[in-house]
Amino acid sequence: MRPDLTALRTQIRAIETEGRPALSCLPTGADGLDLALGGGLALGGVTEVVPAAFMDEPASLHFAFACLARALQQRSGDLVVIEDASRGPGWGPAWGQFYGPGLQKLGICPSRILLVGAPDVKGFHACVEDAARTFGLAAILAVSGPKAGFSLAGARRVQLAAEQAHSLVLAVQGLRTSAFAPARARLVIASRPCRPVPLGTALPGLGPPAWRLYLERARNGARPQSFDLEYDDATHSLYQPATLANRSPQPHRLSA
Amino acid sequence: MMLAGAKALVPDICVADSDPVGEGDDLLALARWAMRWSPYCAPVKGLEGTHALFLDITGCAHLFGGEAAMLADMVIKMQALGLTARAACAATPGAAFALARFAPEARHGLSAPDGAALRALVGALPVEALRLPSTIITGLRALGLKTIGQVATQSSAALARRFGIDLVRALDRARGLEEEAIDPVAEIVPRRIRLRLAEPLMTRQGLELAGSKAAGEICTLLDSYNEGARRLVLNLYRVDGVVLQLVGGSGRAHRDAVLWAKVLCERIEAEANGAGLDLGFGIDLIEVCAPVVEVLEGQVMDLDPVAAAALASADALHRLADRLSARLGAGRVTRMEAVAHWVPEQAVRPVAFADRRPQASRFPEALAARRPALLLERAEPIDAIAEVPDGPPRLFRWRALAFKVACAEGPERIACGEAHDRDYYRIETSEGRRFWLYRQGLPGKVDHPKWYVHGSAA
Repeated sequence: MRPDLTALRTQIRAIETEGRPALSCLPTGADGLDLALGGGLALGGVTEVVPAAFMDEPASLHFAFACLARALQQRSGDLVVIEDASRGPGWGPAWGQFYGPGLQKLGICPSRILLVGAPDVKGFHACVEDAARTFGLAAILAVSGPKAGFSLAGARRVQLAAEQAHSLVLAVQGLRTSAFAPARARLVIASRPCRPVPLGTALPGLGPPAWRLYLERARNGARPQSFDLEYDDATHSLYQPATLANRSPQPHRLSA
Repeated sequence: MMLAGAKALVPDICVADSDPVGEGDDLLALARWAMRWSPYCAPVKGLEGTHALFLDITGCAHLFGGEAAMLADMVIKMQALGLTARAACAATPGAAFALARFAPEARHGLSAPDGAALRALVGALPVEALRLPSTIITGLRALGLKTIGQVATQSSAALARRFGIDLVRALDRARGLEEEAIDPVAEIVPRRIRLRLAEPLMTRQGLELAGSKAAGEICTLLDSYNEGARRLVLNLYRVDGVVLQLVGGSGRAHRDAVLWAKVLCERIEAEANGAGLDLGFGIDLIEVCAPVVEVLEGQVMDLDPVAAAALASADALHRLADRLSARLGAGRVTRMEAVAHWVPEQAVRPVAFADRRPQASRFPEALAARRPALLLERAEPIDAIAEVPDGPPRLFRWRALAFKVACAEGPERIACGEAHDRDYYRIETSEGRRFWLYRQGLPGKVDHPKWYVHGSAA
């Protein structure tokens, strides 16, 4: 006798979610990415942001703040930034600390940021969990130290807390940090040369910051794929540049 | 007597070096402990080796059954601590000091009368009671003036001419004619409550319970004055006379008993886990003070759903921040505050959430547009090849890695004084990594300008 597979799936889903509300999403603004993520960054869940290489760590944080700028536009409340400050504030000697004017340029009002520096890994986990359980925050950014990330149990606790309070948690991991297992999605960020602005000088000017995003893993079953993203400081929007309009020049062909 | 002489008389005499700093600290601790009788309490200053406390007991004596009973209580409590105390109470601190030191009745506590009777009592005391440097005292004795009464018969003009105005003032103070200000050890707090415990508390659980109860009581007190507290100080009076102090803060004034209880319990727990909370033989008195209070009117909660949601959201943030501040320390939960300063590293200042002023702080837009998201704490020197004389860098080497610059924007010149002027460039490397670099020293003024990395994610 074959059991009815559909009925079994429904049963398992009911056990998994235990009557928790269905997850909703916050669109990032980049259409392709939103489609792949099933609507955007998960509300009531953790999204993991990982650099592709050591030198991409600033880029991954840059991207995370770009996403959060969007969240702050759409949600009320404050942004709580929690960092594992066991090696000094911010990313310690490696990349320095978060800089208010630069964040304001990205569209995050500095007076809406609450910075929390946990003195050790244990305190860091407790703070992230506590913040994730708090209702009414716009978003939570958890910046792990260079090596120690979340344990399996710790990550699960944060995920459950986030589901309970419906909060948006972005976990920015170091390159060698262990993966955040229950994350809704794992985004790997690599720097990408921007589209330069010709200024007439020897070196062209800077275009909008650009990244390549690899969607490595997603809970909704999306296949791994990559996206080119850019961020516009003036309108505070994340978007996918139109590939046709911005392609590299084609070599000229002579007609026969 | 010399030490050698003393040792010859008593061979096994116990010798210890004098420790004025330690004695001063102990006296301060004793002053805090003595605040159980009056909040205005201070160690006597100005004379080496004088170990005395001033207490202003105006309006306090009746709580202990009158002045005489209060003084007797002081002497007995001090004896229980292993100290020999002499206590006197008079119209001015100067008179009380003189009587406590030199009147024989002060051993059991002496409550002196006012006016002429006080002057007669003080007049019989030796001149040492004037609390003056030994040079003046020796001078008075050389003139044959041995008691305060004898000095007081002299003309004050003559005394002032010979010994200075200090003598005349000290004389008036000792005779109850001139008041003297004392500088209390603890700030005077507007609201406080005390919990006297029948049995000393020995365990942390008991302490947390008592702390919660005290928080409830002070919130009721604040409620009756329509006030809220931003900071609560929990003083734990140990049986052996040591006072432990814990401070809990909040980002906004409130009088929510549950929240304050949580903050105090977090502080007790953090203290017990960190430096260790030594309860000794137990705590017999708990005091909660609200040093900073603000008028707090009631709020209408659910008339407008949008406003109510915003209020609830702000409330949740405050609760989280207060809890984390209590757990990690106030300096670890901060906001960024803009400072009007050109030097980039000084344009931002972290402000503890609890001390924050409520207004929003923003940086000038034009300035923010050229700043990176991450700023190195200290700019790091790099080897750079740049266009001469004043162009952007083309190649640079940082932390043993070589970078080729593909795009650059700048310079933005920031004056830091002559040879330290900086030209900042936002650059992107050929791999798309963004940095914020500067050249220190302007071309033409400095022969070999140095290059630094100051930020990333520009």
